[in-house]
Amino acid sequence: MSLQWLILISSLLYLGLLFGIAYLGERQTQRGKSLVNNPYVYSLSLAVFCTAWTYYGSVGQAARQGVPFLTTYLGPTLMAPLWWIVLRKIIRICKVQRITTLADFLSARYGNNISLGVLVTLVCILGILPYISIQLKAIGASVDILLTHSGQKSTLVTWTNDPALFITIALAGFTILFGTRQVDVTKRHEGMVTAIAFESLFKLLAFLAVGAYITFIGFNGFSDIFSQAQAVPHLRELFTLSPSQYADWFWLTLVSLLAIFLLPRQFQVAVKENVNERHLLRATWLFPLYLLLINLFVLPIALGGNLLFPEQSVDADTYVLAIPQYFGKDVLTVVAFLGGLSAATSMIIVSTIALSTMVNNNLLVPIWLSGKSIRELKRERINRALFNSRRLTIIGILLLAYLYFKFVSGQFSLVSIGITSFVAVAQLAPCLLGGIFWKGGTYQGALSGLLIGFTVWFYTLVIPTIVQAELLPSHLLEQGLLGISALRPESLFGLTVFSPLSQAIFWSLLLNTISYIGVSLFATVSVSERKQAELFVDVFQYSPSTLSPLEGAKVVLTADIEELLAKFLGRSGTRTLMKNFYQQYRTKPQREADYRLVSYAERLLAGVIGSSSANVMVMSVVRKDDLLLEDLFRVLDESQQLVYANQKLKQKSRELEQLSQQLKQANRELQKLDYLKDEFISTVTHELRTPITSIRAFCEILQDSPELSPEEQEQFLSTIIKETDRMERLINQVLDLEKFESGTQQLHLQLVDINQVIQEAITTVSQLVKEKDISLQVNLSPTLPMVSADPDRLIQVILNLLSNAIKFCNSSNGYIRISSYLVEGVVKVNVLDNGKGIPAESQEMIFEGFFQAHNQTTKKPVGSGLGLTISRKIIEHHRGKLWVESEPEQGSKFSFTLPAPPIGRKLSY
Amino acid sequence: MRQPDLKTALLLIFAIFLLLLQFPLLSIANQAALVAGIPQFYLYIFGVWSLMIGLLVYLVEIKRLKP
Amino acid sequence: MKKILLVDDEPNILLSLDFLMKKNGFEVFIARDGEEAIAIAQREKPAIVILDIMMPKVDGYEVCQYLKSQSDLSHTHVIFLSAKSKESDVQRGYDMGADLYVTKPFSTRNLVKQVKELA
Repeated sequence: MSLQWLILISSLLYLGLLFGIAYLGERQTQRGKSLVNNPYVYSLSLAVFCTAWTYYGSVGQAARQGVPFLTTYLGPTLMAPLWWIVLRKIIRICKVQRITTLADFLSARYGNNISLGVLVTLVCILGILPYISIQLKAIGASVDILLTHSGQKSTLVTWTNDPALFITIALAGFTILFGTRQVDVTKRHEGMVTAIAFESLFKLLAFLAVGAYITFIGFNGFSDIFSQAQAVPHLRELFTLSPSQYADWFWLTLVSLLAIFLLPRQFQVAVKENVNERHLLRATWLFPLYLLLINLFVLPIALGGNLLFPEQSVDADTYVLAIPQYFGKDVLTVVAFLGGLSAATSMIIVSTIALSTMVNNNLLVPIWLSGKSIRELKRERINRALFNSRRLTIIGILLLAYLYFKFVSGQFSLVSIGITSFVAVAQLAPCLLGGIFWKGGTYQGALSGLLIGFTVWFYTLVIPTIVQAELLPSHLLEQGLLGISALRPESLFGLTVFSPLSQAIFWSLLLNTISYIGVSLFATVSVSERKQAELFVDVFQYSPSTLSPLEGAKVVLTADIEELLAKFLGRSGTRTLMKNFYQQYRTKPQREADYRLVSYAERLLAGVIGSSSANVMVMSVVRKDDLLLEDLFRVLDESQQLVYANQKLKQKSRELEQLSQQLKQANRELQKLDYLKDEFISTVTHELRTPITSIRAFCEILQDSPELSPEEQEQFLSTIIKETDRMERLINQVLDLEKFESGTQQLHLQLVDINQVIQEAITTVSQLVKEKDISLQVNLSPTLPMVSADPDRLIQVILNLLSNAIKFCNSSNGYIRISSYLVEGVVKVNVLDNGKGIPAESQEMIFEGFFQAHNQTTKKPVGSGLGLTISRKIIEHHRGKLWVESEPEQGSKFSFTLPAPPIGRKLSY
Repeated sequence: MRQPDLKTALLLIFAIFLLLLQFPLLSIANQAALVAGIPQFYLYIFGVWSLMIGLLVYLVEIKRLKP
Repeated sequence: MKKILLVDDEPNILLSLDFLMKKNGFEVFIARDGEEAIAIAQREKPAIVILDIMMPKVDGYEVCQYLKSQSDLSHTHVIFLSAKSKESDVQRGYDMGADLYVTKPFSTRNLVKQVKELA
């Protein structure tokens, strides 16, 4: 089979496959099994960015200039992390406002202004048409190169004489079939997206296959190609940037960074066809990965081509085809050709759909609707007219692109036209980014920025190409407009440090941005603009229901709205939609439509005829004389109040959450306290039982035993009295403790000589000490300052410590030492005994109430009841400390401190 | 350690890699020499590129920062 | 004369019990903690032991457990006499093989009657 037939048949098969896949995509959606609702398909569809420019042009550019071709892909790669911030916002705005194109987006943002939509549409057509046409050129050229090299050019098969025309017609068919299925353009084109994703995958695999073949079979791997190239001086230069190229590197990165979301086709796949915002997250790395892969072999192929065809006998833009052909690999050549075909066709299809929607919504529908009363319109006519105008627009765009290819673009390289396109759409960046992040951006600012940016773009990038085409005199380039050298298009205002391309990007974006911001700052803002600015910039704060309130109109009849909708969407469709509305907003049909119904209708219509036309249509049923500013601001304020209230609510719930945390904590503490209280009560009652037991037993004995001797009676009665005392003490202690715990205990503070208090206490216990034969050593510092204390309480503490010491000191050979001294500004008192000591683990417990724990059945040697607990409380109330140091068998040392007053006070008393 | 939110992390990646892929840092790698058979400059760019993709995968898929 | 062992760390309670038991014809032995109680029980093999629970060193439960584990002491009647009045404490006492669990304060008349019945 001749190569010519092979190409023809494989092209037909490929296109057939494309139609089939698109059809399958539509079918699956109708069955509810969308193929497009998938982050991988989404990411692949974004790769519509890679066109014939990438597929053929990058290699050409790399062969001529080396590494700078990478900027086109590094820009989007750098942009990818920002997608979640920028693109997600655009997607959200488009979804709530039912916006489908860039022109719609900007015209809606700046007050639904038709002229802005028109301007943006024109910029896009002028910028993108040549770009589409070079895709056609690439297809034509690729067929050409294959046939020329195989010497079959002369064969009379008509299609090969003009393959671009054949492709144009096929693509028109495809685009019409899968791009204009519904009236409502906000509906996604799932078939088309599926096909595009497939094409992206195909072109990547095809390119990798060619690259891998050339690198690993044509040559001996990367290092072989690179080292051969390094040996050739002019090829070695391709490895690096010359210092003068850094500026180009930066500016080209910048425009491709902007192009990745500003190109109409990127907007179409990334925003309009987006099913789920979260798909963006995966695309954030998947898309850069795609770009990396498709660039991996570019330089090796370029260098390989330069090495194989040293005399530049072959156009570098065609290396991808020419090299496999050179090696005589027919199948690989056809695969390479189909890869290029897929790169080109995907770009053409998506760009055409995006542009045709733009042209329809912003140019044709407004013109067509102008001057017509709504009453004249018939529904069937409207639908038919809309479909027809979209179809005709598609055909028109493709035809224009084809004609441009035939008569103009023949002499330009893929890359130069592509870059020109990028710079054109980059002009939309200031007013788009400003529009979503800056409420102050205005219509006048956007319009002036765009006009200036676009003018500079045209003057610095398009004029030179027209001069090259010899349609304008060349002195325009050399001497500038009207001979003014500052107006030379390739070095505007005398800026010569940048290349013509860089200075064009620099000046157009700079002047554009300055005038956008500058004019915005001084412009007056219309009400509708103010509203839209709010809704765009704060899109994440508004729910769809607060969106797009009517322009202050007071009276709109519901019947009028229904009538209007029915014209575009049909009676039954309107009925369903109205029912949805009432359900969604939980309202009932009323004679007068409220702003929500009006904005709902406007959004529905925006999906069919674009936002600015929808606004015009809705306004046509509104009584204009009722336009009230206050109304609109009321609505706006309400929605802002809603946002505010919502924030308040969030804050409140946070506070509540904190409060409940605190409550939980308090509850836990209470439970703990409660537990301790229980413990305390059960211990107290236990302690009380012991004296009661003795008292009762002896009472009964006394009652039952008349025979008791007077001595026995005396003994038993005094025991009863002792046990009663013990009970009384215990009760007093409990009450004492209660007072300290509840803070109702009052100290009667006076200046006290602590040594005197100690002496008093010793006197009290001296009898006991003598009885037990304990040696008591007293060691008091004579120079102690007076302390501020309650003497009754203080003596209680010292007595408690002394009686414990007496109780627990060594029974045969008791020894107690009490000492006082001044140390580090505090008065310290020690009471030391030579008893059994207290194990470390009990040393803190002995201060905690009756220290026997709940389930304990063994008594510890220190079961002193509440004495120590109260003593510690007393000392703490004096702002001092009480603690014990002890080691088992080594005795215990109880110490307390009291703050000594400053010296001066001592003297004054 | 406090988890940075996704937006901050993404902005940071943008800033870092913008810096790595522009003059003057770029000029350091801008040499015609071959490293392991590959032009140094080319290797640098693809290395940085891969690193960035790796970081994004880490943030988005593995670390799953709260968006 | 039946031997009875009184175990408590409260001297006044011991005093009253000592008087009561002697008056009712028992030969009384006294222990002030668990260790002492075990020692005296081994030596004297009393018929009845009146046991406090909360005591220094070895508590009443342990004494009871010990008595029941020794073949020559396991038939000893054990009466717990304790201020611990919770049901779980009482149950634990009976589970250990006590004949009686009396909570403090107690009726001397009832206690004497019950001790006599056991003896």
